[in-house]
Amino acid sequence: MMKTKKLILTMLVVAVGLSWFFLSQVNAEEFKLVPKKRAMGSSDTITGTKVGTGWSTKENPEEAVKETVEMALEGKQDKIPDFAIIFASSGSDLESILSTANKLFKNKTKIYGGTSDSRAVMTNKGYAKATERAYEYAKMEGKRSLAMMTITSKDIVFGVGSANFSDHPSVQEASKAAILNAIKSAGKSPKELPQAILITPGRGMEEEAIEGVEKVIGKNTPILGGTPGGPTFSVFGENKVYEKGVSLAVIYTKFFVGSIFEGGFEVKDPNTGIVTKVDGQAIVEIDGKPALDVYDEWLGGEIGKLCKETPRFDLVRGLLTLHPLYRKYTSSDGKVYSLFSHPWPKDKTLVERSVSTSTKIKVGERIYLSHGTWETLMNRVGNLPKMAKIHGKIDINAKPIFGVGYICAGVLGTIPETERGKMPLMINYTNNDAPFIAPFTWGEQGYFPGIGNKHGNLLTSFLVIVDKGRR
Amino acid sequence: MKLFWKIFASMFISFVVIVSSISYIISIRQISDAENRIIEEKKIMGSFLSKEIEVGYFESKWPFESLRKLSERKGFLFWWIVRDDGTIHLADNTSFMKTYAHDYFPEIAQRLEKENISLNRNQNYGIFLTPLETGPKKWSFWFGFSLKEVSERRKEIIFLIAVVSLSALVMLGVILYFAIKYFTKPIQELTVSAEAIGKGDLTHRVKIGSKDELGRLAHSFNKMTEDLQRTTVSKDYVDNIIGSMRDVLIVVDSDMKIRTVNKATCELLGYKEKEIIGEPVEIIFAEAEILLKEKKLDKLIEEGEVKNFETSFRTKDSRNIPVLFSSSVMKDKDGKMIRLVCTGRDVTERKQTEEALLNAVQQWRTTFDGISDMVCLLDPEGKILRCNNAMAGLLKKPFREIIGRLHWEIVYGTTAPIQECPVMRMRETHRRQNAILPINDRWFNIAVDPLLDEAGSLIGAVHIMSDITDHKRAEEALSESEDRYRDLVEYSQYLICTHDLKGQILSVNQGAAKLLGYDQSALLNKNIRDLLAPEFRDEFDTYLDTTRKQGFAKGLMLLQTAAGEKRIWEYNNTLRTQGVTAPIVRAMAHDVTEHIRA
Repeated sequence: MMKTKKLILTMLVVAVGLSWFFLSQVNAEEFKLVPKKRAMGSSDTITGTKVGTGWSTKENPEEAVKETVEMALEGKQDKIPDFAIIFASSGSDLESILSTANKLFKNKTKIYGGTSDSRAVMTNKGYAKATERAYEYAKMEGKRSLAMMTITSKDIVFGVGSANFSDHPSVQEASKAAILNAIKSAGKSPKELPQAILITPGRGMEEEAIEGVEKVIGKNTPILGGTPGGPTFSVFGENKVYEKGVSLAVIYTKFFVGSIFEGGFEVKDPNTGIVTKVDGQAIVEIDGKPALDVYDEWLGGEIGKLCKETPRFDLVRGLLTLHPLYRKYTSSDGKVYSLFSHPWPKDKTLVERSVSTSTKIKVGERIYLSHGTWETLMNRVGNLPKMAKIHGKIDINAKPIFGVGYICAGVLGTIPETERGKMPLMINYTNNDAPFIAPFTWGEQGYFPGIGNKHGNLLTSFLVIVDKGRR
Repeated sequence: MKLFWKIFASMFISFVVIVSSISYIISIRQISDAENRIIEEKKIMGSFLSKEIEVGYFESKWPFESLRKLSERKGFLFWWIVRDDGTIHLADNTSFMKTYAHDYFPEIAQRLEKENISLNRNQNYGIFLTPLETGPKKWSFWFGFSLKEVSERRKEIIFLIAVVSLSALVMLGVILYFAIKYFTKPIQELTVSAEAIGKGDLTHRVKIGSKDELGRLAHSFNKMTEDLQRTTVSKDYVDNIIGSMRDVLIVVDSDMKIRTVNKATCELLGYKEKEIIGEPVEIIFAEAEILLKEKKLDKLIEEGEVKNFETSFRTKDSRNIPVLFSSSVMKDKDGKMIRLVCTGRDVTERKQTEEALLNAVQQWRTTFDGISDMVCLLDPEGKILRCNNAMAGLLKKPFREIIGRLHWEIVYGTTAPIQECPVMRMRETHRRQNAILPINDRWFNIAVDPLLDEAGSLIGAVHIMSDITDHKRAEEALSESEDRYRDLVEYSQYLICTHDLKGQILSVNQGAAKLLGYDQSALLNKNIRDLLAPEFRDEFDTYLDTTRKQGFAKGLMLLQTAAGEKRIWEYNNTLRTQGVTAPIVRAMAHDVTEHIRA
């Protein structure tokens, strides 16, 4: 009897043991995949033009500049480039950055640039993230990022100019002085039009700045640029930093230049209206009705739903970012261009029903409602070099010598944080791994062929210079 | 192993095997289903997304939103859009972009021709891989998903099935236990009953109420027990008999080892039952050559029994106990001995009694022969049964000529009882009879005592002859001497008398009575004080007192005769205290009147 009991007990123990064994054999650990080292792009030297990019997220501006310069000039014999585009995240000590760069470059390098949005700057080497959040919240985080593109070329001539608006009777005059200085810096005469102009005008003065530049170079020279990123804004002068000024660069080259200035939003919505009252850059009324109410009506009451219980400014701003207003411009050849304006409630409490923009929309102008998603915006960013090449009638497979882009910070804000890192890699693909630099700006300027240069929001502009491959 | 446990173990093991097998099959099925479900789900998602990607490719619009939603799904690991050169063009994790897919999964990277799913169960992942219709450039979409859910499900299923199986086994075990217990209970009842009946309890009955085969078996069993009870002496009964036996009972095996003993054996020999069972039978015999060995045993087996053989048992403490040993042989059908049933009766007491009796007889004989009187035992008819040496000596005949003869022939030499024979009177009175008879030239005091049984019937007599010839002769001489002295005293002129300490005359001689003028008999009732002259009677107390104190007294006293004459008597009296019940005074006086007057 005892043997039987022992046998039964043994069987039970064995059963429990087997269960435990089988359970222990089941690996319920999550599979982890570790990224490998990324393949680097090809040489940055094309036909005598040496382009480099670098970035840093060091908070000390001098160290950041040094790190950035080292990265940009890595492998290059000439440590003093002809031209440098520098963008630092908003809040950075631009004066130190400028002085350090001038010091490193022995005051021989022409420097153009300003602030990018507080959240990041971007190059072909990656998305240099600074702060997590934008606007006033960024100040609390205090993180910085810096990006730089250096170019030394015997085939491309750069000239830089800048002006502090307060030093001139008007923004137009300041901009005119700046462009003239830039042309002069390039060793050219005002009669010699550059192939492209890069501009970083002070916030709220963009249209005037373009106007001033166009007084010198006319409306047929592409001006691509971006309003400095905030929440604090600065632009580089030759040896100074201006909070309200303009920094620009002129590019003279025999190479092919392609550029794009577009929004990427869907422009099929039938909702449209005439601006009947404005207040500076704010639209007060559309079709004689409060602008925000009209907007809400166009959006099917979405604003009202978001603010059913309490005004929610941030949510409404986020909503409107993906449903911007736009104006239409038709060129002489019949092409229609859309110039988008970034709308947001002027009054954070939403009591005052005006809609602010970063553009100067005039009374009597017709505005339209557009729609977008972060996905469409992201794809648009990724396709910028390709579109620039297409617009520049350049083979899309041609590798640019370099690219310069201006991407709306509002667009950046719509893209989920985890997805933002894809942007430089997507650009690299369409830019054929050519070096590029792209700040995130609070307003964008670009060129509509046959119409002229315009300032808008939620836009992207991208410039590519290609030595060959013209279609 | 008990039947219960045999049934239980076999059924339980069968259940274990069945439950384990079913559990294994179910778990495999469940795990496979869970895996297939997940794979199917991932396949649908991957196919759907791949179509979306293909569309997006041509429009340069990647479906980031859908891919992001995919990234947020449970079990998601990664998605990659891989270029034709193997470079990861887009990935959920930017860190993987522009690295090479085949660096991570070289084997899977070879399977780009068609949609497929690769599973790695050890590392808990699966990869959906599909080529994208992107024109001549064969891009591909990779979608990695975790099999952790499957593993967790597998773990859950194994755990659940283990718990359920173990619970089921425990429950089955319990159910089996009670079910088998229930079903085998009648068998246990039967077993218990069989054991009880085997032990002799024929009153035991199986209590089974079922009407199945076991019920019928129980009924038959009870019927058998009833029959046995009617026809068989119960073991208890036998045990009681054996237990109550005063005699030793030992059952010996064919190998001459003790198999059974009764209580009396243990008590007599001082062994405990377990000490003696299995021991060679020799240990209980005192003699070296015991009855149950070799030729003696062969003889016993041949004869079948031995009765009342006097031998001795040896106790545990090595004392010898005389016994009357009997043994009988139990044989099988072939006549071969299978058991010896031995009994022994302790005869110690009887032996002691016999010895005591012998001693008593010896002592009696010695005493009997030592008696100087002639003693013989007679039967009721007067025949001599036994006589002592003195008798034989008196008769000068050997015992054989005396014993059996009629006593008068031997004692009196007559052919018939003599008239004075006390035996004859004793036969009539059944009381002791005495007679003093002269036999030959000697006198014998013959005393005959009857021997009566409990009913008072005469069964014999003790005839004792005491030779009193010398005594007779001495008595005659004494009588003659006494007569002379009596005559001398009686007729003496002295007063010779005895009186007590009060003066009462106890004896007085005739001559003195005559001198005092009284009849002798008249004096015997008188007090000396009354014989004194009245004037001296007061002094008599002084006389008595002196006699009592000094033991003697002498002097003169004035007596007054019957005629009134006063006479002076001189006395010399002594007190006798020896040989008498009360002190008396021996008085001797003589008349000195004349002398005094003279």
